[in-house]
Amino acid sequence: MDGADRERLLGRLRDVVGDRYAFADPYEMRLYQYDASPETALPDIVVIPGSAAEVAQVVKICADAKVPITARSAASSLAGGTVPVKRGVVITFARMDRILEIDGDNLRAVVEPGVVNLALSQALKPLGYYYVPDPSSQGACTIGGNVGTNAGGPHTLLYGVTVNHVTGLELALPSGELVQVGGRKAASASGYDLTGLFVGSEGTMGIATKIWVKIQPLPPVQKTLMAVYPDVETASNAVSAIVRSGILPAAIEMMDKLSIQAIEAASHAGYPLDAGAVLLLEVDGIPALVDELGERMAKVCRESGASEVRVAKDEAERQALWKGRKGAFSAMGRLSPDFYVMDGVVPRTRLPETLAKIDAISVRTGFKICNVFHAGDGNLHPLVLFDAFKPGQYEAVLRIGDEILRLCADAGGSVTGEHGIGLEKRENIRYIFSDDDLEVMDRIRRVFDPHGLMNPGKVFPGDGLESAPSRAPEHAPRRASAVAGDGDVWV
Amino acid sequence: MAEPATLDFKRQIDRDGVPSVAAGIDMDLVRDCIHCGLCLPKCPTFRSLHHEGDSPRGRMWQIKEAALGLVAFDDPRFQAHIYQCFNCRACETACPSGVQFGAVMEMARAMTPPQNRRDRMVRAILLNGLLPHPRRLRIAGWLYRATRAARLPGLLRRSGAWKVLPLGKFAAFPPAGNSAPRQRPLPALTPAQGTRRARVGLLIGCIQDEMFHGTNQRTALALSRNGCDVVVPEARVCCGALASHAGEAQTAERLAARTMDAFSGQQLDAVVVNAAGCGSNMKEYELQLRNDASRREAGVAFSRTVKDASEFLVAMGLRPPTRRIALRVAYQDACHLVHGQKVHQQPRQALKMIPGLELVEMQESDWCCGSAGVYNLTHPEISEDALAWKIRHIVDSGAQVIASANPGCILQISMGLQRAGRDIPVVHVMDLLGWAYGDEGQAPPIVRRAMA
Repeated sequence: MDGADRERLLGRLRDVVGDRYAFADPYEMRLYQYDASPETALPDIVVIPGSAAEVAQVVKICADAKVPITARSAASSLAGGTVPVKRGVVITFARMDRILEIDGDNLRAVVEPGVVNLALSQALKPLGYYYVPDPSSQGACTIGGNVGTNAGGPHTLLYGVTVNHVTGLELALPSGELVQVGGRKAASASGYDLTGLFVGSEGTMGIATKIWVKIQPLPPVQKTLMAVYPDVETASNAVSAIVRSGILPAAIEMMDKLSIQAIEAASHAGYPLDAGAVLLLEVDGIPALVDELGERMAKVCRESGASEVRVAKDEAERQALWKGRKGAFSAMGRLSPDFYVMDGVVPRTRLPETLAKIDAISVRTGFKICNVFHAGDGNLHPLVLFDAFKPGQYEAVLRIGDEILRLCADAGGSVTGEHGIGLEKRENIRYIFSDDDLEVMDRIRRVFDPHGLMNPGKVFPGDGLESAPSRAPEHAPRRASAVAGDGDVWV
Repeated sequence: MAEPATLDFKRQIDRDGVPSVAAGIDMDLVRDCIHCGLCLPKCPTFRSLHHEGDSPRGRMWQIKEAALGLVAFDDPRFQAHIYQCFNCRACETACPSGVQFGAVMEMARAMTPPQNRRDRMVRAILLNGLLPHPRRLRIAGWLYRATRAARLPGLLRRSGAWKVLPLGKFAAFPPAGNSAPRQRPLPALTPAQGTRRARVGLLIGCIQDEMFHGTNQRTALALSRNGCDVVVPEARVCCGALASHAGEAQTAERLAARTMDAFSGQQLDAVVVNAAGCGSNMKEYELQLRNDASRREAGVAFSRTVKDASEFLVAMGLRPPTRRIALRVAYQDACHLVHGQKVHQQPRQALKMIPGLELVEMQESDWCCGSAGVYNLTHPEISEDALAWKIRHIVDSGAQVIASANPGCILQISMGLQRAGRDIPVVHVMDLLGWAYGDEGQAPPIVRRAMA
């Protein structure tokens, strides 16, 4: 965009949101070039709208001018999902953080996209409800971003990910329309599930301006167990043993030795520093059930090689354990100036061998790799520690990431469980989708965004403005249609 | 003013290599930040201004870029974002990476002079002209108390003149506190009562002793009732907190050294401080003395002896006070106590020891009230946003009295509550404790009525 175009566009945007909330100063643009991933790219203009109507007008103005649009709220994306790689306009939701309605009897709430995930649950708590999906970054990430990436979290093992908890969306489309999909008071099974189509689309078709979510009564009791294992392999085998035992806990999380060091340094929650690995398990429900489940689970853990099983003695200890786990990624800042986190998924049964292979990569390349992840889902989060100021390290780490995702795909898994494809995994997506799959997805996207202006450069291989790629990599599985793919990786 | 480069951060590093880091910024501390964003929802200026540049992550990013020479330290936009920060350090509590935000912010501020005229005036008059000078302070304190004795605040309120005068709102709505122009200084030694358990120094402070002399007396009383010999150094010192938090590094360094001298050679078990901002600063003298190799180590040793009053008393085990104070009290966490010193429970535990006192919690008690050192003087509009949130939560809590632990917070919240027409006095935790130990000094009417 040249200077005159930018000024013209800025003027029109300022007419909508006011001078204070649209700006193009190059200095300020530098503050919208990053998110929580290592990726960076500068936008041309930043807009901070205050209402859905303003968002719709902003999207229309940009679409008419054929300018790319990237939505951003907390910018806690670990996959570069909010980095404006094609420049253009960044829309941030810092002002749209209102909870619009809480309807306890109908178990639903309506929120603006900038509402912080944890803030919603905190607002619901006095009323006896909560919003289930709890990404580890829930203290900062927003419901809008959760919808974009179909976010998960520890407790989605039993209760399902974001798409299972969003019942409707109001969307600003590039056509300038503000449309509503779903959001009816009663559940509806008729017609296409358009809400489900948009959840996880990473802002590539439209931007959510209002979100209808399911809320759930708070479980009467929650019990958290920590099982201590000598090594990662024993702990991974224990995960399968737990599932085989017929009990599905609300959450099963694993942390390896290096992660435990970082987490304990940050949280002082009481994680054992000498453990090879720990599993963090949670059961919830009525007291009698929880006691029974807790005991049976402790037994399974011991039989599968746990040297010790501790039960959080009170709510404070339980909270401390979870706070430590949820702060794990950021706590890596204590071990290393930079890290690169991946989000691969493997079938639970392949966890031990996959973790062994990742360890072999670490030994071969000399980069430390920590593992802290949603073990119950087989959703791995290997963190490669590095120093971006040392020449060549960033590139080397990207290669390691690619290798690990390839491992996951070859094991029958996926290249993302919950962080989204974003910018960083748009090439890796070929490991799980064929050309035909990608073309089907691209055609669907173009129904809503014919000119490819919505969060361009994300999700799809290449630069995101082309049609689906013409050459299939040899390892890509051939499938009849993307729609038949694994539920958790659908765009 | 040079335009910042148009390339993004990573490509710039790729192209030009890693630039050398500006002296005066510790890059290791800056790079502790991994820009995850967990701090954003805890930042009062981000909540007020909605701009990434006014979030902790955005400020760390700017400091990193400035340290690498990608933007200029004296860029007015850099200065605006850096000085718009409360430096309340709520982001430190939220940060799982352990970023020492306050330390980095002070380094950054020391690299660049303040941006606006108001800020420069506050520095010249208050930080450098008044606080470090005991004689001038005594005169200012006498003047302040004389205006109160002459009932000037009431005149300002009735005439509405406070709305147009500089500092008018603070003059018209002063906190419950001393108003007798003449006051007797604290004795050099207040002997321990009962079994002697420790010998401590007490920082009486600069503003604290002029405006809240009674609080100092009650702190000394609480300490002596708990078996402490309380030593007050002859040399009146300002610890340099306001200067260091505002980035006046040279003044801060000089005052740190002077404060250490004042307490040296007294064989003290601890140096007790009842002002959160001062305590936080004195616990970080290593940072203030970073450029003085000869004193740095002594600074570290000194800092280890510094304790907040409630932190020290609760750790020692409070002897139960006997006088009932039947009041519903909410504790307002002073930022530099909860975030700066991680002292959260102890003031509450101390208050709970008082017979008849019911402790209630307000929402967001650990959010800054907007006082933030000299911030309410340099950035009144943003400060008023934070004060408005605070007043709302206080009123919702149903508390009859607010207890805090820092003179700045007490001044600010007291002003806000009175202006909103609420008769909810704001006092120090040590005030309530002192009254409960039998102090007969000036107490607000609602407290006096509640004392059995």
